[in-house]
Amino acid sequence: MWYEKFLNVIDASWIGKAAELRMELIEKTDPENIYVENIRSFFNMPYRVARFFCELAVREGVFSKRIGYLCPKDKNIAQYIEAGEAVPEAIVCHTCEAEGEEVCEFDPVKLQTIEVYSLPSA
Amino acid sequence: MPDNEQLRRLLSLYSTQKLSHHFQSQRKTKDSMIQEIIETYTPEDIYNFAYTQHATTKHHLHLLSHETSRLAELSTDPLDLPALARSERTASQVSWFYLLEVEYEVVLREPLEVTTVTFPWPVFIRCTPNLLMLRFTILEPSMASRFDSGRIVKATKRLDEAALQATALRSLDLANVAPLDLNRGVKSLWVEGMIDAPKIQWKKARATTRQTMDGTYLVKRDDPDLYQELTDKPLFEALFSWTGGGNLSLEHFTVDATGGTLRFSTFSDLDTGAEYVVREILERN
Repeated sequence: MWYEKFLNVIDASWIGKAAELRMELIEKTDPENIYVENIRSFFNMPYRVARFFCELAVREGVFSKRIGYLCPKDKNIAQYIEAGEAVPEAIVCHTCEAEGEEVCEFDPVKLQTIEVYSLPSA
Repeated sequence: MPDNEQLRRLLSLYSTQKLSHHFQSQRKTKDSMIQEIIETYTPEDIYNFAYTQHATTKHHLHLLSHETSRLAELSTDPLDLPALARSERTASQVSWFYLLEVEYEVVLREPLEVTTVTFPWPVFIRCTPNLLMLRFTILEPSMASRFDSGRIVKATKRLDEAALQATALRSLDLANVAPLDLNRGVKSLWVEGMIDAPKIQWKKARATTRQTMDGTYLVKRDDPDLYQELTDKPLFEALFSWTGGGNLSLEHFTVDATGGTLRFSTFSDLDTGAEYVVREILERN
């Protein structure tokens, strides 16, 4: 089960060392989609500290990282790009495309982004 | 020398109350007040007013974090435009106030015609050792006063906030610039009962969702289950009502806590308005 693996990973990482309420964190977190704010709010720490720990977890191989490009219409993640991968010239929102929106391709430079962390094989 | 029409458009971006108070005008209507001010005061007086009262306009605010402490080396004119009205530099901050001229392309019909109209656009930029703030007055140009409203097909602004922000970032060349995450500050104000939300958008693990409350209901007061659910979620665009009492001169504001942007859609006062709200959020962030 994924949560057993998640528990093991957390136990072996900085999160496990910092959190006595780790079961609560596990229950509240989708291992495929972990946001800095999930971690920040759980430990009630400043954003930059939470992000630092997430980046540390990436360097330690505990987390992998993607960048989510937000559709400007509904702010859903239109497309994920693995951290370090080349960013395409255009980001396509398939929801906008399916709805027949006039514009469904966007310049990634102009889009709001969000960092998404996950357990590598979640 | 600026023409009177441009000064008129600039003054119209400020509240009647501010115009009346600052210029000691007793006129009853905003138009007649503006006419009196233009006839009585110099353009320099009007620019000074525009600068000192800029935070009282309806505006968008973009907040970005960065790690550049050498403020003395920053550009003297980050937008590189001949519209820099004021610039101040101290040991702890640098600021620039622009009165840009923004063109609107107006398409008219019967007969078909494309023309341009220019509006003054006050923009304020401030940089401290870890924060960059860009404040853009919201323009609400009235084309109907210039053209027969039945002829106007559309009006398109030729310069936007994103382009100006990109120009400023290129010019300032700050290290590690990123939108300032405001979730902590906003949620702290919410916990303390200073604000509550009639409308909110947030990021679930695999979706983005929003809720608009009926009537005058508010999320924390009237939907405590949702409020609990939101405590660990990244907040996107949310409309907040000020519920903390005091003598605040605004009732609502919109904030994208994850994107680091705020919108103040009403006029407010200097000490009890938009700047106060931003200060309260940043102190808790």
